[in-house]
Amino acid sequence: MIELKQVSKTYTHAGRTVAALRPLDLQVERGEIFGIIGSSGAGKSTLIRCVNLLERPDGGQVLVDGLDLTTLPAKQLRAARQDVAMIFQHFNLLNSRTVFGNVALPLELAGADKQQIANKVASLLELVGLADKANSYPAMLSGGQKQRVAIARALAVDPKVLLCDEATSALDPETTSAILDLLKRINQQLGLTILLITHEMDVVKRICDKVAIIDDGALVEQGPVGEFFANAKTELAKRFIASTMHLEVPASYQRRLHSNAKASSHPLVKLSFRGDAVDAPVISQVARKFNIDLSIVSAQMDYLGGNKFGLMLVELSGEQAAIQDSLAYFEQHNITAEVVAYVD
Amino acid sequence: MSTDLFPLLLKATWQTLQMVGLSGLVVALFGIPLGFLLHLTKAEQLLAMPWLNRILGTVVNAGRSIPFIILLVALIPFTRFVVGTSIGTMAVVVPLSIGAIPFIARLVEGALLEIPSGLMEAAEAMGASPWQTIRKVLLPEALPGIINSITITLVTLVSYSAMAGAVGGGGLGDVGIRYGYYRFEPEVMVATIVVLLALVQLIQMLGDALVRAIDHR
Repeated sequence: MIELKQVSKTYTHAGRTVAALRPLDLQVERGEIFGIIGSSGAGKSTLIRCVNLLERPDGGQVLVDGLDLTTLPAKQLRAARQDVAMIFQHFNLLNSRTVFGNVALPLELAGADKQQIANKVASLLELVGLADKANSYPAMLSGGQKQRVAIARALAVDPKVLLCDEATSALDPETTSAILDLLKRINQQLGLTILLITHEMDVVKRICDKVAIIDDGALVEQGPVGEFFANAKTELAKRFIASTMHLEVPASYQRRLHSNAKASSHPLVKLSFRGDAVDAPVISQVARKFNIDLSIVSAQMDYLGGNKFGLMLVELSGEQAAIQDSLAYFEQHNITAEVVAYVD
Repeated sequence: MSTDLFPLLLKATWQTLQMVGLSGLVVALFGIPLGFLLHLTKAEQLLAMPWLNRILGTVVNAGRSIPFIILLVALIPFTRFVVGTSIGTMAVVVPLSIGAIPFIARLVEGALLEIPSGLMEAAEAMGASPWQTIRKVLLPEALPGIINSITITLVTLVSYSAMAGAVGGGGLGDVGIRYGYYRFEPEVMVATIVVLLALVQLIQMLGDALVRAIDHR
C-alpha cells in the first residue's frame, strides 16, 4: 500500500548539510499497522512527512497504492493526498470551528454537499465516541477527545492510509491506551492501513503488526513485531525492547549475585520466551524431567503481534548435569536460556 | 461663553466619524490583503515569493517611517489628483488611508504569525489548495486577531484625523486647536477631549465585544 524506494532527504542548515534520510526502502502492506520507532532526531518525522510529501524527498519514489506521488503535478497531488490522511502529536484542530466543523473540513474541501457532510460527520463522531460533542469547540475538549476529533477528521474522506505522527506522545498513559485501541479498531473495522511513528516501544507493542527501527536516517532493523521482539539483532533494537520490559531484581537479592560460579552457588538464568513456546508448560516439564527446582525471581509476559512474548529470571538448583540438560531443553523449545549470574 | 458648543461639536464629531469611517473602510480593504501578502509571500509560506516579500516589506516600512503630519502635506498633489481637491474632509481620507494601510498590514501580518504552522500543515495534508487554506483555515483562525488589528487601526485613525485641521479637513482635533488653543476657550478643548475619549472607548469596546463573540481559543 505504501512503498518508499530509495527515498533520501538532506537539510542544509547554517551552511552544514545534514542527512535526515539516507536512501531507504520501506514497504507497508495493505491493512497492516506499521510502526517506525526511533529516538528524537533519528529522522522518523521526516520519513513520515515524506509519505504525503509534506517534505519533498531529494531523491527516490513514494508510492501509495501504486501511484508515485513525487511525479504528480500540484493539483493531482492534492487529490492524491485525500487518500493519505494524517494525525498529529498536537492535534492541529481549528479553534474557530466546532467539532462538527473540524470533521466537516476535509469534506468541504472535497466539495461534498451539506447533506452528505451532515451524515458522514454524524457517523464518524459516532465511531470515535464523540457524538455528544458535535457542537463543542476544541478548547473545551481534553487531549484525548481532541485526538479523537482529529481521527474522525482524518477518516472523513475515506482515506486508504492513515499516517500517525507521534499521535499519542502528548497524551497521558490511560488516554494513550484508549486512542491506540481506537486506532486498532479502525484498522480492523475499515481495513485501513496505518503507518505510525513513535519513540515509545509500548505503542509498537500494543498495536503494530510490523515495526522498523530508524537510526541516523536509516532503517536498521525491521520485521513482524513478535519476531522483532524475540530476535532483535541490533543494540538499538535491544535497548528499545528493554525499555518495555521491566525485569527488576530486588536489591536484597542483588547483593547475593556473583559473576563467577562457586561450589555452593546456583545459576540465575534469563529465559526469553517467544512464539508458541510460551503456551507449553515447559517450566514444570523441566522440573519433573530433570529433577531440579526453579525459583522465579522476576517475570513479565506480554502479547505482541499475535505472539506471546516474555522474559523471566529464574534461579535453578539441582545437579550440575541436570541444570545443563534443562538449559538445552529450554533452547529446544524456542526459549533462549542465558546464565546471567550466580546466586549464593 | 462665546461659542455655541453643541452644534459645533456635533458637526466636528460627524466630520471625524466620516474621516475615520471612510478611511477605515479603504484601509481594511487594502491593508488586510496587504498583511496577508506580507505573511504569505515569505519563504516557506504558502505563496513563497521572497523577492516580492522584500519589496512589500520595504514599501511598508517606508510608509510607516513617515510622520503623519508630513505625509498629510507631502501627499497634497496626489490627493488633488485623486479627489480633485486637497482641502476638506474628503481630501483627508487619502493621506489617512495611505498612512494607515502599512500600519494595519503589519498588525495583520502579526495576527497571521500567531497561527500555528501545524494547522497550515494539516490543511496541506488534507489536500487543500492554497486558496482553500487561506479561506477555510488561515482567515477564520486569524479572525479574532484581525478584528483586533482593525480596532487598533480605527483608534489610530481617530488620532491621525485630529491633524486633519492642517489641511482644512475639520473634525474634533481641528475644533480643539482652533477654539481651545488659538481662541482661549478651554471648555471647548475639554469638550473635544471628552468626545474623543468617548469615541475611542466606544470603538475599543465594540472591537473587544466582537472578538469575544467569535474567539473560541
